[in-house]
Amino acid sequence: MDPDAFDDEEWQFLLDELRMLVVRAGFADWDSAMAQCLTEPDEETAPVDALIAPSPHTQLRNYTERFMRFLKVDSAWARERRRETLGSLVQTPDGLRAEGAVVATGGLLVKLDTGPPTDAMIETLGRFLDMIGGGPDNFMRDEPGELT
Amino acid sequence: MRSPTRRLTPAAIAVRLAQEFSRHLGVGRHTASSLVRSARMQDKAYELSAMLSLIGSIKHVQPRLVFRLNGGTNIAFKTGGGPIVRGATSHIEIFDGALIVGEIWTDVECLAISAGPGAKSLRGNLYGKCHELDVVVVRPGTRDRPLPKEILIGAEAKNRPFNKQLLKQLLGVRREMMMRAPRGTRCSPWFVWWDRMLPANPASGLVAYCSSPLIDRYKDPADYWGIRMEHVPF
Repeated sequence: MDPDAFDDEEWQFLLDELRMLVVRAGFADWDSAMAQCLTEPDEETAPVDALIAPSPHTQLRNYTERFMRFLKVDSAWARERRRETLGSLVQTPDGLRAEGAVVATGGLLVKLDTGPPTDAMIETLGRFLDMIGGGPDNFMRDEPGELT
Repeated sequence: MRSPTRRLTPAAIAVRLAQEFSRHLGVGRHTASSLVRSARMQDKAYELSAMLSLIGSIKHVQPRLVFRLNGGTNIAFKTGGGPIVRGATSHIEIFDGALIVGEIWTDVECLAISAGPGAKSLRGNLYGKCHELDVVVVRPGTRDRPLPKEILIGAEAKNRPFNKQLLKQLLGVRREMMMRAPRGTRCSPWFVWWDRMLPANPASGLVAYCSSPLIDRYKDPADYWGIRMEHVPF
C-alpha cells in the first residue's frame, strides 16, 4: 500500500488501535516504556537543531518493529537456545542437565517456555510492517484454509 | 471491465489487527488474568535469558567454576519477590572444586543499605526497607533477605525499550545496595568481570540486561555508580 494513502490522523488512529491491542494482550508495561520512546527523535540521525518528533506513520512502524523484537523472547528459536544454553551451563548434583524453569504465580507452578510460541504473531506483524512501509497488502489477505 | 479496487481504510486494517491479536495472542478470547499471566511469562523468559548471560560471563572469566542446580531440575522464578527460603525453591550453587563460592537465587528481596542493622530479623512487608533483584549472586549460606554485604552481584532484566524511568529505578536500586566510594573498592574478579575496582562499598556489582539498544544511551550515569549495562537482544 502507498504510505501516502493515509494522513497523519489516520496513521495515529492505527497506532492507537495497535497500542490498545498490545495493552489488552497483557503487555501494558512494555507499551508504557515504549510510549516514552515513541516521540523521541533518533539522536543518531537527527541534527541537534532539528529534534522534532517522528510522524505518526514513523511511530507506528517503530512501535510495530519493536513489538516484534519484544515477542522474539518467546519464539521457538529463543526457547531452544535457552534450553540448550541452560543444559550446557547448569547441571544437577546427579550430573543431569538442568531442564528449564518454572514460575510460581497465583498458587500455580507454571512451566516456562510451554504453550504456543510467538512465531506466528511475529510473522503476521512482519506482513503488517511490510504493508504500511509500502509493500504488498498480504496482511489483509486471508491465509489458505483460514476461517473468516 | 476492470473490477473496482477496494481502497484500504484504517478501520479495515484495525479490524484485521484485532483478528490477528485474537488468533495468535488470545485477545478477546482469553480472560484478563490468563492474558496477564501469559505476559508475565515473557518477562520471566527474559529473566532466564539474562541469568544465562550472567552465568556465561562468570564462566568465561573462570572456566573451572561449576554451576549446580540444587532442589530439582528446574530453576524456580516467582512473580513477586521474597526472601531466600532455603529448601523452598531451587537455587544454583557455584563450585570452585569442592568449595561453594556463591549461590544464585531469583526474585529476591534484598535489604536496603538504609534499613539499619536490625532489619534482617524483620518479617512481613518492609515498606521500602528492601528492593527486589531479578537475579542475585550471594555469599554461600545467605538466608532471608540478603544484607548489602552478602551480595556479590545483582542483575536486573528488562525486555522493553530502555528509558529515563528505568534508569531512575536502576539507580535507586543501586544506591540502596552500596555507598559510593569514589576511590573504588576491589571486587571479586569472578563475579564483577568488567572492572577490578568499582566505586562501591560494599564491593558488589549490578548489571542491567536489556533487549533494547536504547540502554547504551545511559551508560555514563550507570558507569558512575558501577552499573554494567548489557544489551542482550533476540
